[in-house]
Amino acid sequence: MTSRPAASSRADGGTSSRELRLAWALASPALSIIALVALFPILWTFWESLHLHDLRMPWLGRPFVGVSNYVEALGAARFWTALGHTAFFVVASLVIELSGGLLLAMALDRVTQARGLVRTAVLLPWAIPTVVVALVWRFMFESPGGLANALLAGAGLGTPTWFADAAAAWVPLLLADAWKTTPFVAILLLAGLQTIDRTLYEAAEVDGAGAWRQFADITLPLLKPALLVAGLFRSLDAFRVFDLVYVMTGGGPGTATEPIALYTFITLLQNLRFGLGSALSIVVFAVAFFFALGVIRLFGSGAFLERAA
Amino acid sequence: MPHRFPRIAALALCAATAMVSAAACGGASDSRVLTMSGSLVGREGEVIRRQLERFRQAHPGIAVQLRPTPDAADQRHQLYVQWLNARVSEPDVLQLDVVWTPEFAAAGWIAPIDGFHPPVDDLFAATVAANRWNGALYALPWFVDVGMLYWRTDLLAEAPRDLDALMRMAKDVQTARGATGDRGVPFGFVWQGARYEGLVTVFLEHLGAFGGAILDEAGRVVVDSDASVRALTFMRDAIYEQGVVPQAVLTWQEEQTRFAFQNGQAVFMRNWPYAYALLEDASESRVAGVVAVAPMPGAPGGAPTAALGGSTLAINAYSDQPDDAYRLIDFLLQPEQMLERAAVAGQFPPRQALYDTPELAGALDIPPSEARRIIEAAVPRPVSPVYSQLSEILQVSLHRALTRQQDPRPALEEAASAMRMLLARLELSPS
Amino acid sequence: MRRPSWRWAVVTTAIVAAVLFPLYWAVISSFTPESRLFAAPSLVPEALVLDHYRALFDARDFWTPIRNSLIVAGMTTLLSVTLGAGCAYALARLQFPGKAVTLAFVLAVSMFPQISIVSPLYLMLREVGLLNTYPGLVLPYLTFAMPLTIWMLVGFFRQLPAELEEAAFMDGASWFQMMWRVLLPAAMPGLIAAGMFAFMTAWNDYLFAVILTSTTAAKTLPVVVAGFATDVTTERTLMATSGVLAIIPPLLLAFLFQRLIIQGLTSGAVKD
Repeated sequence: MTSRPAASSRADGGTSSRELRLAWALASPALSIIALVALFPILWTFWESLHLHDLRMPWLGRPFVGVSNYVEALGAARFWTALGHTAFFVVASLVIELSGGLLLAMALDRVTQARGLVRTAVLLPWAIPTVVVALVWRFMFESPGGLANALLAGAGLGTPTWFADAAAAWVPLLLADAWKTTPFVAILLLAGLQTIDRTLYEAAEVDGAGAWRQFADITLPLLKPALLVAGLFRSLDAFRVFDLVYVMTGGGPGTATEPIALYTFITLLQNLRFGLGSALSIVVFAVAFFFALGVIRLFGSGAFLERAA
Repeated sequence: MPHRFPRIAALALCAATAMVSAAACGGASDSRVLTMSGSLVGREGEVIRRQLERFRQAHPGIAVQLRPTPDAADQRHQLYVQWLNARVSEPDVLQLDVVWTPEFAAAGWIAPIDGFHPPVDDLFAATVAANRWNGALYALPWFVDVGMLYWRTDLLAEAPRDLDALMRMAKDVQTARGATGDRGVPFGFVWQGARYEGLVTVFLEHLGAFGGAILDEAGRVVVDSDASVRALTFMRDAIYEQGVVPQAVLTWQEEQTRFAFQNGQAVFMRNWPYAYALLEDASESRVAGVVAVAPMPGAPGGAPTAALGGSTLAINAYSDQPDDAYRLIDFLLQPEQMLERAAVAGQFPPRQALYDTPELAGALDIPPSEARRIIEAAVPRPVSPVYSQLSEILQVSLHRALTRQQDPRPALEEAASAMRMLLARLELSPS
Repeated sequence: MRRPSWRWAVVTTAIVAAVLFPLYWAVISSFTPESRLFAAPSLVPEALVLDHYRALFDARDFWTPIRNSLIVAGMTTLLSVTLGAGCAYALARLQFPGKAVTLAFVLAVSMFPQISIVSPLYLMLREVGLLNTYPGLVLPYLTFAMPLTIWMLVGFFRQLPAELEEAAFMDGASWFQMMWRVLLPAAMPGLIAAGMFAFMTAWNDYLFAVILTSTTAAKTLPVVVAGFATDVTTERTLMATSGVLAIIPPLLLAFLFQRLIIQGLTSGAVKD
């Protein structure tokens, strides 16, 4: 019907070679850069993980050691504790941020005045470098002289030494992460909220359903795809957490708040054991990869491709 | 308008002059530039700048630039590792913490200096020995630090003779003065308890006081001995049972403890000598004039122990100007420079002969003979190329025990076995 | 439009206050004289001084990290948007074999934990002497900026009506003319949103910057700000000050482009 060299309307379902060439011409610069700076390094990391490579001991050389780095990595108790901390952080931050994000999204949906201003205010934490967020919150919870303890003391409550207590140290971490990320999640959920047909609510109202009923029966089910996407991306980000913890607690007290990325960093860049650190890196990568794969499989790739579409 | 022209002309003249002088300064193409990196904390920054200026005057062809580094030793270590791994040629002269020399030497990052015939006989033997690796000398000691006990002369009549006395005296003052209000003294004893190298030095002092050690003479790991467990238990109980040491110290490094003591909030402080000059500065310190220094006290089973710290100067193995670099090091190690450093920053010189001179007596706050005694009795940390990793293992275990995530004995046993494994794997354990 | 109730207004106000409070705290700290900072904090400042700002720029050469961050983030944005847009268009509009695999590949790369590729990047850049240089940071930043941009733009291109391109072709335009004259202007909001994301991600990065740069001349803003925090003496105040300054460019962007950012995040689904 038209003479355009497009593809999808061709009756025979094939692709023109011009289009093919054009597609690769457009895509290859970007793809080759990604291959260079992402794919190649991950392959190199895998290669390194099979060798002994200690930067501080050049006289040991770089011999091939097979899987012994992996054996050592997976055999270290500190690895499993770090993984456990990471899992805890992922779950806790997910719960806080999804529920907080949902609340915030519903509030944003109903705001009529100063809409732009409110949305900007809400976007600010996302715009701030994580390092700055970590430092601001660290100083708020410091002892002595921290704002948190000053407020608690003023209210007559106890003043724990936040960063010297293995359990309490998680509080500023989770608060800072929630502060920074909840607005982002809220915006994602807001999109989902706004696609819900209003007439459904009106019908429910007519049927006499209260606000809570409407939320449980209409909002939540229809929001599921958005919640899943937001949930997957947030949990992947939480799994990779580094800046926040490194700057705020350094993994302490002891190693009580050390996530897997920080443990890998210490092995690589402080202890300079590149072979072992590479094995750890591959394990971290594999966990992230299979987790994402599992979630996508479980909930159907449709939800995610829909999002990217 | 007639007024504008002269103003513009003046502006142009200024600009021209600035450009010409800038060209003149920067254009001295025959001057060599040395870079040096080190600590610029407080008085140290003052002293080094003055001394570098004198060096420039004595050696007109060489300009020296200072490269700032983080104050925290661990961070500086990290930075050095990154620089030297990237094989940068600057800085030419590096200020190293005394425990880093074997590590950097073994990795080939610093150059041996035997060829320059340094004056090793004039320096304290222990400080020189710590800078040898595989028979060669790789750095020279710049100043010596020892852990000391600071105490308030307005609250106490004399320094404590042992750790138990220290606890008693601290508690008495805390009870007498209360924790709040202007006259309150909430903390009995403050030390560096954050999870970093400083914690190891504090532990080392308590360890020696109870008769323990990290490595024995044969180089075997003995940090899980009964004496060690007693020392760590003592430290932990001082926080939670006795209430003499605040839990907050577990997040403090040197400066935070100094601030607490400086604000009059503590009876005793353990810190390095640098703090004394700052504490005596009446414009900033609330305890100026009522501070005295004493050796760290001992305990049953051991002897009073001070951790040996300090800095050394080394030449970057990738530097283009090793000869000039050594000239700078040699200059900074001259008696005149060392005396100045002692007077201004309170850091002890490693030259033995100076301890018999009246100039040093005037510069230090404690009699030189006593300082010498403390230095000669000070305990060094293990000299090993993997010391940073050994330290990291120990730091984690100590901090875990002190934050009550683990009991002292299992924590130390875990640390000891990890340290043994590390030394064994790296073919460095004693036979 | 849901009927707004006063309850929701209260919730919104509370949330906005909670969001803004730490920022307020940081800004106040940056103006507080040093001695007050260690004493008990007060919510309303008693004294405000400009000392720290002066110290930062005079004594500490704060312009260098600002300049470095601007250049690196700018270059990253430019490269990822220009190259990524082409790739995104191909993925969104053209048919070719391996499209699904490519899309999955791009998505997978965006999930890489940074720590997993930092050591080979460090070794690679060291071998070619690119440590402490601009390309030495821009290239690694493209690892996450490029997939992010592609991913966002694919969604955006798909939202654009196909009639735009059809009309252009009916007028006899070639692919190039169509893209340049028709598609680009129409996609501008998406490109700006994607560019801003790339800019923010590059501006805020800490891990790559702290590992791949070590000289004062090469450090970026987050590294310098974090560096202040570990220098316990006077530098805590500098940390607050530098932190506040580090916020300004992203803040400006957030303020100016709030609508576009939201559109970009949600592929245009959120209405104003």
